[in-house]
Amino acid sequence: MSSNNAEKDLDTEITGIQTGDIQRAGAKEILGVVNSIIEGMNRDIPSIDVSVREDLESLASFIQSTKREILDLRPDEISDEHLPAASVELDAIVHATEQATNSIMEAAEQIEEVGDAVGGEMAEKIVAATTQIYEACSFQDITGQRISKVVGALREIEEKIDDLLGAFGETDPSSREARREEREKERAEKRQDAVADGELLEGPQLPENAISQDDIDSLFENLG
Amino acid sequence: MAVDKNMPILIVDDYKTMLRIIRNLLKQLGFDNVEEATDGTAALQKLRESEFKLVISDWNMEPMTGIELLREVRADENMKKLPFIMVTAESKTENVVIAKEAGVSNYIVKPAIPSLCRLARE
Repeated sequence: MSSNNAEKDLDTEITGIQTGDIQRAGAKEILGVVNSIIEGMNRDIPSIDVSVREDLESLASFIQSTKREILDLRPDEISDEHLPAASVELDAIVHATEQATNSIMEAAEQIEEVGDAVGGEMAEKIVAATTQIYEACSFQDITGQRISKVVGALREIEEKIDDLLGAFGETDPSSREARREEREKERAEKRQDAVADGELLEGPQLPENAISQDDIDSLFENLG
Repeated sequence: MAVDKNMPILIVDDYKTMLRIIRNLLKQLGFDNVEEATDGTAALQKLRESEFKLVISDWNMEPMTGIELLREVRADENMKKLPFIMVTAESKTENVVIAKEAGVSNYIVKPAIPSLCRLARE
């Protein structure tokens, strides 16, 4: 390979990275640049400092071994199997808690009917107790919303893994893009006419982040 | 002033269990005339078809959210003074402020059911 050809190859590799999203330049692209530099040195600049060449070779070897190690972790399995399986399990939790809540509610309703038949002070006590049961049952709504948040986080992780695989050249950009578009389409269908207010919807807050009902009542009064 | 226990109330939530809970609580308080809707669009349709005296709505629903429903209600000449209580898990100050600005009558954070009972009694 002539000096001019080596330079052209290097220029092509660098321009490829620069014209793309430089933040997303993958290991494959970086490795290409490093290899072009090494090749250029080997063929055209034999007198170059040996230590620099060794450093670059070591860098290329490091990138290769890191890539191998990460791929040995089978990230494709995580995005194709484990994460979807986790989502299914979470859906099952929502379904199971819903069923259990409905059973509890039915029992509480029957107890309430008994209270109506008994009447008097006993009925009042039964009503107070069933009110507590109803309140406790609203956990199902809260947990459902929390689980939806977790499912959303899993989707994000899925996409990051896709990006990682892409950076290592393990999936071609068009199939990655197609998978992304498919996911986006599914999400859009679920959201349907998502509105700007959607940004406000974060569901239940963790206790340390939430404001209490008393705080809300006070805020409400202050707002006039 | 005595509360009309027979007044028609519309409860709106996409969780059927939540609808059941609110319905039962209202029943305990003596309110039996309760209708349900599972999202804002269905609720708006019911509100335009029949006269209700109170709306108790969740915020986080699709396709029409509770806040959109509230805005539609307030924009309607016939319903702009209709009492509208938001019962939601959204507990950020920002949400309360926006709901208040949109004209909500009261804002209750789930699972603060006792607050709902207190309001219903009032």
